[in-house]
Amino acid sequence: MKYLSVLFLYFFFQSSAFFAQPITEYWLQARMNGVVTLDNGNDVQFWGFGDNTPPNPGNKVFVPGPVLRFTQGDSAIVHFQNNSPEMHTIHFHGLDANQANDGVPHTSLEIGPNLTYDYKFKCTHAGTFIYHCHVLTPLHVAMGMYGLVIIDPSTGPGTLHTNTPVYQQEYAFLSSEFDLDWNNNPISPGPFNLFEANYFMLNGKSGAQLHDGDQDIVSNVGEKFALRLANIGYGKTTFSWPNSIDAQLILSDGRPVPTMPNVSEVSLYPGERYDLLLNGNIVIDSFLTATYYDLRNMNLIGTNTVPLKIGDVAITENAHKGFRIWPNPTADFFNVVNPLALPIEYHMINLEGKELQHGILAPGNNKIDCALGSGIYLVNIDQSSDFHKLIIR
Amino acid sequence: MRLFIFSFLQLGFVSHFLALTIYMKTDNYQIGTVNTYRCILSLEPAMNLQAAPYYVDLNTSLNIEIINLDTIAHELQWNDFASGVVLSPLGSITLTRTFDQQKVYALVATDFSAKTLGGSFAVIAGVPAAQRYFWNLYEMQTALSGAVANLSQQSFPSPYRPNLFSINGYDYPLNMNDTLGIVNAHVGDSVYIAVLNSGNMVHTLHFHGYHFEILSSTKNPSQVAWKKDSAPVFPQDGMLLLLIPDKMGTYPVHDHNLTAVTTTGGYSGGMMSMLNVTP
Repeated sequence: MKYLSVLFLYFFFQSSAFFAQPITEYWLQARMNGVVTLDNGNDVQFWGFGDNTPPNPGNKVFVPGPVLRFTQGDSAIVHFQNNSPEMHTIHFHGLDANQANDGVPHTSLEIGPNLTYDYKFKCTHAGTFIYHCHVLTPLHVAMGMYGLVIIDPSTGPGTLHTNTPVYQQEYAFLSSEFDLDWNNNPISPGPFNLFEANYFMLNGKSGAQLHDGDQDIVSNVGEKFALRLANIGYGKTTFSWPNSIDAQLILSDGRPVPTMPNVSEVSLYPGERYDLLLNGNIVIDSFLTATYYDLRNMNLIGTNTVPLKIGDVAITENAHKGFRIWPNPTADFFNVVNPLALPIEYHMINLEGKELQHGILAPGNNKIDCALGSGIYLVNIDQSSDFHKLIIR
Repeated sequence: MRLFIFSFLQLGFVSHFLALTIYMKTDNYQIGTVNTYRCILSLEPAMNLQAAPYYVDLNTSLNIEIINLDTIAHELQWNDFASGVVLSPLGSITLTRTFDQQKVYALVATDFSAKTLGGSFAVIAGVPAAQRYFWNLYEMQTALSGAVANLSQQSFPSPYRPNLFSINGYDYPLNMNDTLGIVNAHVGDSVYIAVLNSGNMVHTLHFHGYHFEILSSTKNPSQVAWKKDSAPVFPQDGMLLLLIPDKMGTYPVHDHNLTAVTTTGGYSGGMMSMLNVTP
């Protein structure tokens, strides 16, 4: 009994220490029944993570999974539910979680079918991070079980790091690859050293899919935009952009880069992240280019481009005012975080400009149901120029 | 001739230059169930896959005699030098160098056979003895290694499909008793990890649990002084990493090119190790 009291006190103080910081929670589920449409129109199966927020959890997973966004100083709780017939975990790559929350089966624990686990970690540094399943990692990562974690500095969104310049727009790209033979036959893939990347993705899209509008990088002359780049693939991904754009490297792996040098391209090896601040000097209509290399011989094996447009008027549709929408893409609902202390109106419109629904966003998180069918929609905050693109699949 | 060079240098720098002998040999090794040829540079004439590096204090000068135990010629150079020396079959040569920076100096083979089979040796300068570890990374397509060793294959295999990934000669979990590489540290220790990539491809080390600082790198100097959790180690580079653990626990370290955490295609294996940190 005495030991129980001691234990109770221990956990009480542990938990009070944990909860002394603001808590941000997410609910994620894993499923092994995802289907994604490839650039060539064919469907292929994948395993992935999806939103699982109560009381109406979704039933779909996405590649990549939902972006998890926190603020530096947050205590993070990610409620994980395994809705699949096999073991899974979540490893928070670069977040330096303690051993119990590290998501490695043989040093932490794995989560069985239909079981849950609450992963907890402290958001000690701003930057871009990755989460991924760490069970039979060469297969589970190859099958699509990953997503991005973004941590804003304690001052909130709009800068990559405390005391670095403000950005007006922000774009995040997670590079990854499929070996489609594995996706088509995940029961007996391998040998696992023979992953042969043959489908190359940014945010789960490839080729012409990256030109359908929802990944466009749009900024204006004289404005700064942030690029958050991450690589969960097996090879090297090199990102490059037009010469007329100045780019400064601010963070790598969630830590400030000494001297924060100007760079003309960056190469990300597996697991690396680079956060950059870019500044368009002239009007251009060009591309961000991602090239993929096989590390075994450095052969170039794939290329993707994303439209990159620097305009001369303030028509950017992704202006980041601190409102965030997640999960995105989604199925039939989304959450909007209102960072203001006041309720504010939102309007949801389609790409033809027709308003489909509207409502009030209370301060904090707002869950909004939407039965609009798959497509691209814009969520407009307070009838301002603050538009957020929302994809419903 | 060898004696002459040695004596000459000894005469000139009697009080400054220490003598070191390194043996170089290509041989067949069994790693678990895997058989491979490997070129090893070792302080011992009896070759061992766990060839230790040589630690020196800053500003130490060495006369390094390298004895080729192979019946084919080899070429060697420091990885930060533009040219090297030829080592004749069963011959030897003496190199002289002063180690004046805190870094991992890497003597690497540049002839096709010995380079492909991982011939390299690290001289690590200026690292405190209390907490220092060595990770020699090496991967190989083992079925081809014999042909590379006997010179019947004289160009890099294409496609290259390595099936063996090792740290200090052993794949995970055979390396769990590796006294050179398994980190056993306390919270707050300054842990120095010297990494030598003796392989033929980039290996990206990812630390669980901690970030590390890159103190030095010859092939990737742009990331020196960065704090990272994932960093590329280029072929024939020697890197010095500093880890100061802020919490206890057991955390994996592995190549994040996930083809490399396998042995003959099976998971888990390959290029993975552990950090053991106690209070």
